Amino acid sequence: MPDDEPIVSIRGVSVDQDDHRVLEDIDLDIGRGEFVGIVGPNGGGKTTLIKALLGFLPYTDGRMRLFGTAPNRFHDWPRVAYVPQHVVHVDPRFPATVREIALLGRAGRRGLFRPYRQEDRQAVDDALHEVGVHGLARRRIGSLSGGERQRVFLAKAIAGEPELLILDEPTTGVDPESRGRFYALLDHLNHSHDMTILLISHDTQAIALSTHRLVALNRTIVYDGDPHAFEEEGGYGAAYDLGLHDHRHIGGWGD
Amino acid sequence: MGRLNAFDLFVEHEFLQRALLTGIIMGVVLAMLGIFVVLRGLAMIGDGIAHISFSGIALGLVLGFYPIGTALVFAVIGGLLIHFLSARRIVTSDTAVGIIFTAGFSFGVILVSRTGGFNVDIMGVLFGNIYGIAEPEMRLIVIFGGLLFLTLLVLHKEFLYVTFNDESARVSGLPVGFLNALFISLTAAGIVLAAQLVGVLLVTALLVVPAATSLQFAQSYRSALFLSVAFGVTSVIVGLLASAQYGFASGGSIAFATTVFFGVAVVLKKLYSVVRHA
Repeated sequence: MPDDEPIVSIRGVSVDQDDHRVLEDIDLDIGRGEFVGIVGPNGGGKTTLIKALLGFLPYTDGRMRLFGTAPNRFHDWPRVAYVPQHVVHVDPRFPATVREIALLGRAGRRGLFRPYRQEDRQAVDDALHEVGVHGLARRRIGSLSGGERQRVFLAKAIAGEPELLILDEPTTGVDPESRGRFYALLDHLNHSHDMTILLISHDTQAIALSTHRLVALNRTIVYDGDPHAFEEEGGYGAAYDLGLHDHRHIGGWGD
Repeated sequence: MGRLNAFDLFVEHEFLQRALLTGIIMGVVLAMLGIFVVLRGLAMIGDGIAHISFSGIALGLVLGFYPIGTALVFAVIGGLLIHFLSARRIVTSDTAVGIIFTAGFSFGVILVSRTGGFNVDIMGVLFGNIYGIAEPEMRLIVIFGGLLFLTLLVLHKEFLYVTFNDESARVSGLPVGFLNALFISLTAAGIVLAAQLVGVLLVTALLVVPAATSLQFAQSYRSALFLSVAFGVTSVIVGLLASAQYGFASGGSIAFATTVFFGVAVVLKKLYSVVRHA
């Protein structure tokens, strides 16, 4: 795959669930180094789109490519890190330390049956330092606050040195101050590590502050463009309303 | 001459040594499996698999096959059936256990009744016969128990990952479907082997209770595995000593010991938190 080809390429994709069309005719390209926020109402298909992209769900029409390969034939998973929704809500009794959880971020890179090596431990230490939770490395994951846990999951994700980082509602249940620090961290990763980031959130304002591009999803893409312009043009209300007619006219750089 | 104590008995009798060795091996294996079983909420699947293995043993006895072999086949197939019925969302997991469990156990009862009643050693199958472990069975348990132990060791990071979050594990590139099926099969094999010692009705004790006890204290994955193994092995040793000394049923003694440790652990933990907050 040449360097200028998009990391994620979605063309005319629809997804059906239980005889119900959840996503319709989605077009979305994400290039290397982009920081894209996906917003939309509950049931608008944000998580569904990610799950289809990661090969968890089949799609009916269109074409999807992840690093140039169809999701169901993609095998180069260490290039992708995924922080699923609700992952922060850990069973408080779960017996694992922060370091043990962060090391899982290296499990895929290491491969089946192979024990962790020194370089894995080093990568985890670096990642824990980077997100500022190294002092908590020996603590049990369930004993941390929501904000701390969230940074641990970010450390786990970046310990695997991915090129594409996908986060699904990572800030639910996290206090506002921690949320601000978290977005600043993502910005840092995007800039200094050249990590491509795809962030799902309902927090439009936070997305407008940190991302370069906002995609609003409500069964179809109703806006794709400058995050600030989205708010100025009326945000959700206008986008969904107009989106029913012709969404392509709303966004600046939709196509 | 003083009365022989349990230690002297163990030094003297080879059948007791075989009981101790096989008991410790299966105590270790089930305690390790148990951590994942308990954390994933699969405790009832363990019980279901144990009951299914009963019909496997019965079939082996009726047809003249090696009963542990047929039990193993039944347990693995039954365990995978439960797994797929719930994974495919055909029924919930507790309902799947209820169906497969009764299917397996009732089939066993039918088989046994057709052979002219309970002339085979059904009590041994149900409640275990750790003192009856002969040389070939000991070898089987040492070899297969050792294999299970090694498999769990080399896959410990994978099993932690799928237990913690199977979606993330899948995106990391791990073959989650294969690992889940393998885990059920390993659990089934462990249950069948351990059922030779403590019986199909009590084998869940060794799978679930030491793990549950360890989770009262464990602060890390490593310590959870270690403590679970420690509680499992100690229960086997204490249970066997009590059984040899006082003539208690061996399977019952071992299973009861696991629950005593659990009770003590819960009380100690409560007391500790009361003292700390006082």
